[in-house]
Amino acid sequence: MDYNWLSLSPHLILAGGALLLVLAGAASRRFAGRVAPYFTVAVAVGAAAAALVLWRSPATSWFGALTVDPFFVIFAVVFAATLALVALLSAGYAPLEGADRPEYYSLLILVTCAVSFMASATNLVLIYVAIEFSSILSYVLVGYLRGDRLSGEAGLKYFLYGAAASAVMLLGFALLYGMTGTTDLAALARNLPRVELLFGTWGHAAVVSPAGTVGGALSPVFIFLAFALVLVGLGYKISAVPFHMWAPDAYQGAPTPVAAFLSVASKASGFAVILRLVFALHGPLDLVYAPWTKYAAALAVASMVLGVLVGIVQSDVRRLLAYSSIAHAGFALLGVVADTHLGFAAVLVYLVLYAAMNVGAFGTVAVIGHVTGSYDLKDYAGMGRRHPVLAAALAVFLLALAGIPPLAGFFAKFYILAALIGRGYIFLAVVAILASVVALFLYARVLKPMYFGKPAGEDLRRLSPAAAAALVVCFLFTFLLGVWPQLLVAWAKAAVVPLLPRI
Amino acid sequence: MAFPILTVTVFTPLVGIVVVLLLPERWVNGIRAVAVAFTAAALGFSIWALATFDPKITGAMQLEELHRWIPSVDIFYHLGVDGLSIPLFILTTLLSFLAAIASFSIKERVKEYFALYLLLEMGMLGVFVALDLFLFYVFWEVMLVPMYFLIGIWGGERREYAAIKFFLYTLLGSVVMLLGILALYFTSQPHTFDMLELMRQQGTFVRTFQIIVFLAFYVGFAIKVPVFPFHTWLPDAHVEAPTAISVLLAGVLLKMGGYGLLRVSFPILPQGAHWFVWPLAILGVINIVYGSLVAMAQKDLKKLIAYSSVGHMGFVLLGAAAMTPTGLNGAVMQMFNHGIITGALFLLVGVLYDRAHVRDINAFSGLGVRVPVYVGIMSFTMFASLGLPGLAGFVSEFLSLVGSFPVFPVLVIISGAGIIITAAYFLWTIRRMFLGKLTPRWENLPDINFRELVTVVPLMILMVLIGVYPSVLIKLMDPALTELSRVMMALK
Repeated sequence: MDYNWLSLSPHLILAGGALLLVLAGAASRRFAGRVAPYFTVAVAVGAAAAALVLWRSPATSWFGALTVDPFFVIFAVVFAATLALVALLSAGYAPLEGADRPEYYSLLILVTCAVSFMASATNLVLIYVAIEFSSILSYVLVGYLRGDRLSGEAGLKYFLYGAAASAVMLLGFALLYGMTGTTDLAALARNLPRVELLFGTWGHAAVVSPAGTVGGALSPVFIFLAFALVLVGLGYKISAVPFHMWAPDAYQGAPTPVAAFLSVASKASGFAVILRLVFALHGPLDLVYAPWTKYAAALAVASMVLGVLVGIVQSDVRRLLAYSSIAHAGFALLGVVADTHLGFAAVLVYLVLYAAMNVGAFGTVAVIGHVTGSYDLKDYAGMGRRHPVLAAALAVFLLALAGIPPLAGFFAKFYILAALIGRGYIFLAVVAILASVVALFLYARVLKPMYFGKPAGEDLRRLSPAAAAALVVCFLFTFLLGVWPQLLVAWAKAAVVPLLPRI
Repeated sequence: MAFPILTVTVFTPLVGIVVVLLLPERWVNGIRAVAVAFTAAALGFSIWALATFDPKITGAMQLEELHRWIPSVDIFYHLGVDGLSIPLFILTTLLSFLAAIASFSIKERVKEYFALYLLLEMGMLGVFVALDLFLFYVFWEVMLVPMYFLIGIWGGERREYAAIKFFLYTLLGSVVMLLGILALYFTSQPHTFDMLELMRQQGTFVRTFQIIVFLAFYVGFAIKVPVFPFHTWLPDAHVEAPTAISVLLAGVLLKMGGYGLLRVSFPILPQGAHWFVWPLAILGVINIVYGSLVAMAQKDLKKLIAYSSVGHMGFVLLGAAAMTPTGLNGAVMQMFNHGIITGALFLLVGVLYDRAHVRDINAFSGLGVRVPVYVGIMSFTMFASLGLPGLAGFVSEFLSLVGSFPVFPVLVIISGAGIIITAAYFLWTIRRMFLGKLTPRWENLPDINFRELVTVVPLMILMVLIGVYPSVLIKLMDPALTELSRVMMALK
């Protein structure tokens, strides 16, 4: 059973679709360029369907490296949905019109394949390869606008940060391997408590294993170091402070639909890996290194506070949304800190809801940028008059991000707060709500010129049908999932509970 | 299944929004008519609800609706009314209807205005009938967004500042309340957001917990009331908001704080409430005296009325803190009366401002000669506001003071000073603006017109009716409030 091709089907559909698109592009560039967005949507639907089929048959195969389970299915569906929406948004995005279209879409599909691997990998080697796979494709996509200096700069910056972060993370994986003699997560969980620890240095460790030590006598510092290094790589992926510096530049320089993808799918894939690690190592980690949640909490608080405070002073909407996404990463991370079923389910719910509203927000910004050619807040003045529908859409997405009920963002935040209060982390909950009050001010910085300002130009009426369709879908999800999140909550619980039978 | 009259009332404005959004923007009169029609429909439905409501039933909710909503988190769609909420429910539909007529003076972006206006009405109505704390919170927050835009787009000169100040202030209060809601959820066994279930479980909450959660709710409610020192958003928001929105702000939004205190904080957290009785009463007196003194110092007529609201809400706090049946009746009645009286005052200030485009009290003099009908109505309403016997304001202030005298005799005597100051500044304003020699600048000022009369006269009728025969209101709410008082006293 270890060569379980069925469990690879979502990944294979994506990879196959990407290759097909490249071949089609070689055969007829015009035709492939025209159908590429819709072909991408079809591939995304296929991948999502293939993933959903796997809901009822969780399996770990390929020698323990690949696990498909409801947890993976939720992520795979989010990735596929994001891919489809981003493809539709890209179809009407002017700066991409001159670029090599079939290749652009095939890269989008491939990066979705990569992040799907991240969500299903349960072996450190596969995790690392999947992260590198997705990162390298992302660098190319960010720098895809060859004529645009900002895009090239963003791609390079993103690459330098990413290369450094993944190298550091690889060192962390190497340390874990050195201590436990395995790269398989399940085996890692068994071996970690058997690492014999020397007490005294930083005195955090509580218990040392009885039977059959591995790795020799180590100071707890090594365990701290290993996880800290891994966290650098993952923190970079979810753009949590202090590993966030690339995000504003990358989102600003990248084609805006790509920024939407990075801020949603790429971030979610980082969370998928974090959750996989926590699920596997949860018990042993508490045993050998109890304060790990404190460090996660520190990252979360720093991301929320810095994200909103620095976001407030931005004048470019894409940078503002980048800082908002940093703050959201912090908020979602709080669910991991809670370290309960409720908390982990809350992270899943948060990521799904966040995907709907953030793709919507970036998508609207992309469309507005497409018709006005500007991303400057000043040029948003009077948008409520110039294009009432687009402005209303952006307002809804921003209010959702701010957490105003009954939109999606409210339930996302509510659920995380519930997890924190349920665990008794009142202080963190207070910090989180204060950060979201300030975050409202951040979003009001966009709402204010749109509705209170004098129109900065003539009325706009043009809206590409593909982009409009994408925005309508985002709106429906933002609204409906906010009003009625019951199914989503039930699915998230079903995905999380079997993975953590012990708490 | 019974006809879901409360759901229908609450979501009637939502249907109105859809219709308004479908109409083309240039059909200004069509949009106005639709909006007024839907507020009228909501008013009609609420009166229907009132007709089926039996005030004699105590200790239970009426017209209840209960459905599963998000069962994974034990959240229910639970609506219901009792003697505490139904007067405020009616007040909301009534003022929304009248203020919609008053909104005809809005000339710009009419479509957006009425869409937001109806959304605001839906939020307000929902708050007064929601019996699930999650649902309550959703309605509570839904109001903030339309309010922000209504002040920010159609407001006065400093509208943007006032709008964001209102939004941030009230959001801060409500998120703190959200933490309190979650704390209640996790402490209750089985976990629940249902207010009635939480009331049944209140005996299981330890005192320290009750005090902490009471304070969390208090921040949310006190900002809305507003209680000193959380009142600083109110003058800005009131002064900058367009007339109809000031009416709703003063008439309905301020009641939510007092309503929340009596609906949520008192019965669910009685020991917290008893612990906080003295601070609450003292803050009430500070509201009365300080609010009146600050009102006296105002030069802007709208600001004067805004600060008079701070004073009037003090009586609500004082009556509520006493927890006697008379005091509670006074408190709820004061909320209702303040809604109709101050609502009318804001409407009348709007009438004057639409004509003169100034609100400075000293800019006017001798208006009684030029616009006698307006001056008559305005003086009448001011008399009602200062508590002239025979008009509504007197009855509720009197009840509130009588009800709290046995508990806080000294405080009641001090708050007497507030009543005198209130009378003083209103009379002084009448003298300065309406009496004396007419300023030449206003020689051509037109008097109040028919549409404006339509908005004010129903409120005047209510002022007289309640002033002369307060039983219409007391009969409605007394059984429920006497029951609340009994429960609170028993848990002392």
